[in-house]
Amino acid sequence: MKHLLFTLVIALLLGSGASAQTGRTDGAEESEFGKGGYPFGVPSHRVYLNTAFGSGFFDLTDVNKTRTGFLYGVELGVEMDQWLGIQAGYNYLSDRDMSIFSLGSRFAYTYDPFVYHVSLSTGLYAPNEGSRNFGLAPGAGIDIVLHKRVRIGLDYKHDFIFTDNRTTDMDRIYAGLKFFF
Amino acid sequence: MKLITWTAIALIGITTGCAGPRAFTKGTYEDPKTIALLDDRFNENDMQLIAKKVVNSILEAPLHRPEPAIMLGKMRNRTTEHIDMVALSDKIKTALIQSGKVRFVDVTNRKDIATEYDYQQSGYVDPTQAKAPGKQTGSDMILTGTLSANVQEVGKEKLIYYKATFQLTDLTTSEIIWTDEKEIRKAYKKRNIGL
Repeated sequence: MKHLLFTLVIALLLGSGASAQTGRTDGAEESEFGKGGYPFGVPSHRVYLNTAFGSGFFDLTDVNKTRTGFLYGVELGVEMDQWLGIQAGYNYLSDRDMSIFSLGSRFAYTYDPFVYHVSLSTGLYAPNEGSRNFGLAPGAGIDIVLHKRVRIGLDYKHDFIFTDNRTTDMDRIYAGLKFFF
Repeated sequence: MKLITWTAIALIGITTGCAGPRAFTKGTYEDPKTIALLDDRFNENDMQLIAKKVVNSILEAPLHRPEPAIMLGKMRNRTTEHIDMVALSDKIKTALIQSGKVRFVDVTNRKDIATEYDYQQSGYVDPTQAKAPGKQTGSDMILTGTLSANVQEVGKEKLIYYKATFQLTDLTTSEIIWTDEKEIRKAYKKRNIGL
């Protein structure tokens, strides 16, 4: 885990140094070849890493109570275009001692400095004790663009966990810091 | 549970509620020599590249006489775009005059100059200072140019090709004593700019 984080930090530092050259017209003849482009938009096919810290809420229908647990995790995604991305994630819910592995798509709309997004992911819900279950998690959230490569955001996901006899609901709310490479 | 859902909806609603009509209100001054391709049309960078090539080529060419007087002739835009050919020829003219190696005669203001001669010869102006026709510099050469374009577009890809050809014609012999061209090809890829 430490090794993975160290690698990601190094990649972020290297990535931030490699800014695109736009080129100039007052250089030597033909020095402008291959340079230029739309300098104001967001480049496509960017990899991002989202760190998540928040809470998970389980509805316990038997006792008519809601149980809350600390949630943390990490999501790794590729933003193919400004509006479309795919992402894979790992979350851990402390109260249930449960790992959530997810894979899904994310649709975003940018209204500077906000980025609104909705997502749909499929997940494997794996508690340390008990059976593993499959589930679906639609979600929505807002990011605030702090820098070209850094966003802070708030996400909400509602999990439909399919067990043998019934569907269990869970809500996840978490804040995240998103780094683009 | 309901509280969470409504909090999330309220947060989205609050931030969306700030959205009114959008306008260009935030700007910065930029270096005009930096290449920026905001869209696929002829832009200031294309103009700068053409002017740079033409000016350097004229200054390096043997023009057979010291500091020749040049007049600006027709600059033809044969592309389907609206391109300000006056801006292009002005850019070339400015750089050439500033080099000190060629002179330009003023063709654009000929009518005004003739009117001014009439006025200065009308008796209102001090005769010792009044300018009269007959002493203008005769042009040695005429500078003309043509800009043409070719566009290839398939799916998401677009290639735009510009060719600017300029020539200097000797007014005595009508010989083309210098000609050069600048080719520019720009490649674009379509991408979404919003939902």
